[in-house]
Amino acid sequence: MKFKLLTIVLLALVPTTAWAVSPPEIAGGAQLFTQEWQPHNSALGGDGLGPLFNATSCATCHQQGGIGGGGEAAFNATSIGIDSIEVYGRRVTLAVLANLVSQFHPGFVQPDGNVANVAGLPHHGGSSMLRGFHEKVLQQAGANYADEGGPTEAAEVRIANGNPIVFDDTINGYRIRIKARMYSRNTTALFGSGLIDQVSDKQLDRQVRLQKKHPEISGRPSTLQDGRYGKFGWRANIASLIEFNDQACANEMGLQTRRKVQTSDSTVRGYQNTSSDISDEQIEMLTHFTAALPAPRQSIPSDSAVDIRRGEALFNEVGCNVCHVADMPPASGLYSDLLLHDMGRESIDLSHAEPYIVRRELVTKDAEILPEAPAGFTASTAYYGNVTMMPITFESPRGYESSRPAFTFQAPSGPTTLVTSRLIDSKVNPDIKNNTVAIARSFTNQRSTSAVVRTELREKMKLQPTNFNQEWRTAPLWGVRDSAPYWHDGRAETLLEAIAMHDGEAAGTRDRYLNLSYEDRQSVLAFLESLVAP
Amino acid sequence: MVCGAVLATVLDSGPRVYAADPVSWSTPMGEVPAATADDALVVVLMTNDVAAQQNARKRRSQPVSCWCQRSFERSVSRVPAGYSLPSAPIDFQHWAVGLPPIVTGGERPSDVERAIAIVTDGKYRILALSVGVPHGQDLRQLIEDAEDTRVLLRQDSSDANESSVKETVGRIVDRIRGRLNRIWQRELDRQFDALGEPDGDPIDDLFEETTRYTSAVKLRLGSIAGQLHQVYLQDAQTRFGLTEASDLNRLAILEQHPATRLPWVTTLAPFVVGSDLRSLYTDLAEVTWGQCVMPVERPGEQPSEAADDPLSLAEWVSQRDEKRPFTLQLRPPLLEDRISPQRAQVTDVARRRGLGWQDLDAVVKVTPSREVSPGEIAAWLSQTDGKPIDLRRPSRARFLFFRSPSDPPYPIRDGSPPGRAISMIRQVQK
Repeated sequence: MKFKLLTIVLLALVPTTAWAVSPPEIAGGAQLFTQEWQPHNSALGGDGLGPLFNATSCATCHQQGGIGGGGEAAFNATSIGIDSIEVYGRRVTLAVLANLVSQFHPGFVQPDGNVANVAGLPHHGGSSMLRGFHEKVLQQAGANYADEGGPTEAAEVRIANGNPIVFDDTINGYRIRIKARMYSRNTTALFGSGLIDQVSDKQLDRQVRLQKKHPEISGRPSTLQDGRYGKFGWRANIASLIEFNDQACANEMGLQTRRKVQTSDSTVRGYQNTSSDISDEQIEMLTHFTAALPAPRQSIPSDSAVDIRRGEALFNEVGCNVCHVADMPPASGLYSDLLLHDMGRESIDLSHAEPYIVRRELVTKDAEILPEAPAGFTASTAYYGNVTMMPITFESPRGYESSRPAFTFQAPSGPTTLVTSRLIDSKVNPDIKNNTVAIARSFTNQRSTSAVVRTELREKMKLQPTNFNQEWRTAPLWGVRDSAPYWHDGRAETLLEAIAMHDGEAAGTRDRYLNLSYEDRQSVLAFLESLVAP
Repeated sequence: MVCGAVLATVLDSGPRVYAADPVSWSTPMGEVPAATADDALVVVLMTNDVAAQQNARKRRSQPVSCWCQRSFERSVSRVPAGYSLPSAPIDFQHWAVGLPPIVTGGERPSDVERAIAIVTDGKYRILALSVGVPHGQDLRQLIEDAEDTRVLLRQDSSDANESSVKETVGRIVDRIRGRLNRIWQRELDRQFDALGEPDGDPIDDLFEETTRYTSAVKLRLGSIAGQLHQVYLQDAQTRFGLTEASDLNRLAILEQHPATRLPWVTTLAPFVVGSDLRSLYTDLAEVTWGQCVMPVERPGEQPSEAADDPLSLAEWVSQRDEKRPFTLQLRPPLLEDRISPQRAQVTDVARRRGLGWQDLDAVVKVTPSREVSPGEIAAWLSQTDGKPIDLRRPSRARFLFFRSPSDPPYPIRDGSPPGRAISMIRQVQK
């Protein structure tokens, strides 16, 4: 009964243009969006909610300005990222490193044994051992956390991010010193996301060309491995709304989908959810609903109309509109170019943006296919962005010296290699009979010897160096009044703080804004305050 | 895929009733009529504008002109009409306290414009304050806050149990604690715990013993503000992404918006509420802006009368020997300018040769010396048709050295190594 009533209310919000899909599908999506998920899904045979989750329903976090909106800092997703590692001792292997790092937090160790430099810290669920690790790092961050799991307010986000976390311990004859930091991601509003979904890649290319006229701005598309551009998420690392929903289910609620594996509990190795927790049809319904959420609007009080219009003119005059593009058809009033921009060092988060792929070519070659990924590669984990896997040098370049670290890692600020490739197709090459020689030559006996030589069709990709830890999608400003706190992690309590936080490419625009008269600055703020949730 | 509606624009015209009359500015520090003094409020907008040259007769007719006048007047127009009644009027005053061109090199200073808004009762006892230009509903909230504070002070004043000053401050602390985040709450409690009773007879009623209470506040203001300032800078650094010293100029601009310094001023407020603004305003401006200011000409008072020393600077200079050197030591602002550079480094060799900063202090002491504020210098130079001098640039003037009363001043600045000045003074003293 409760859901039925809520569905009616939600459907009333959906514009009539949305009925082109089908009211029942949207209604079904609305119900799924607000559904409180439970562990175990007897219908699908999956384990249902969890084992790790940030919330029990989509609507828990997406509620500011109405169902589908953004969320306060308390709903932030949190993670911990490793800036650097030093290990002192004899020979450090991947297994040794994994063991040492897992004493700090086991979430860094991937199911395949690799060690990533970022670990998600889902708010709820998991074994008591995992919760113990979570508690320990949260305590070290020195911030206050809400029952919902995120920092209680913007000030606490800043405290958490500003306090370096140091893990210094001696384990099994190795001394390990880790420097890490807490990161957060604020819940984005989904209003108008159906329109963003329809923005074409060509339009993003057009914005890149237009921005070349502005020497200080260098927006670039979020180039995904499969050739598409990303448009969703703070890092724009997701191409479509349906994938965004797919990933949100898996990462935020532990609802495994057919395409996306749920977040696993790193203290319970070997556990596998044998089935999906949410069906394709349900994901589609969720997508129909989120796509049908109305776009934000502009609200102009009659006594402020002149001020707001003036503020908009000044917004354009100082250059905010170069990145905060008003219209990206069909997303009118979006105020974003959906491109990635370097926002400066203060905005670093180690779940980085997609590397910038500037050229692609297909190549065929015989290659050694190893069951494990090569060291130092960038990998996609949760949908917050990519992480870096720890590179291990198997041949120690020098002898053992107790004063020198046997292993060091420093989080890269950009791609470590400018050429990479992805597999398109792969076949066993019948012409190569002895396929173990090359493997032995390159990776000695540290790796599995079960590799075989195959002929692969690969797409070779050339990357352009970027500061990928500090690249962010231009935040759409529609509905901005109703989506505080601001910035990717919700560290900015006010719009003024968010504007002042602009650095990197946006530093010049920020300074032009600050050089406006007080009254003009207030007019720009009045304009921004006029952009409200639907 | 289904699409939502395009960005819709809605014109909202809700009913609002605001004070319709244009702002009627009153004379700075003018007496509030006795009939309404008990219930009146005075809203003081203090800015670093330079006061126009005026004489007492014309003062009333001088129009107010300040950098944020339009914004402020718009905020005033948003105060509901019912807030100012004939029996409890709200008086608006502008206090321009910027240093005049005669001490800023003859030109209008290019400083970032500053503002502080203070609400007092009819006897100029501080009730509420904010840094920056009140915008939108800010002024209304400030007035409401002032009214609440006045009620609380009155209650304590009439309380038969005779609350101590600390208890009264404690009640104000309790009232505002919820407006602060954890960091500032901790700082507020720390300052409150450290708050002692003033020496001598205890002040039982800060509402009635204003003069004594103001003296106590004046004594501790620099220390409290300095400690709060450290917290503020750390907080502002993460709030506004400030990373370099040059970013402090950005912070000064941001401080025109009340939200920027709100936690600082909210934490400071309980420790200054109840004191007489007329005695505290220069200190308040200095600790907030980190710069010296020019005292406001009070009705019927000459500028020199505001100085602590009963002997005016002009009189003191006139008493100097015609052929003997003397020194004026510039009083730094209560809280040093955050943007000004540190004192110039002195090499070990120069120090061994007696050319260090301490040597400068020693050599200056040999001459007749007097500590003066930039405001006193400005008044004196204006009276004597002296040439303009820049007391702050290229770096802050520490001393003004005069070979004789008829010679022009030689500024000795923080940014220049003191060796040359020491040599010159020694030579003159021979």
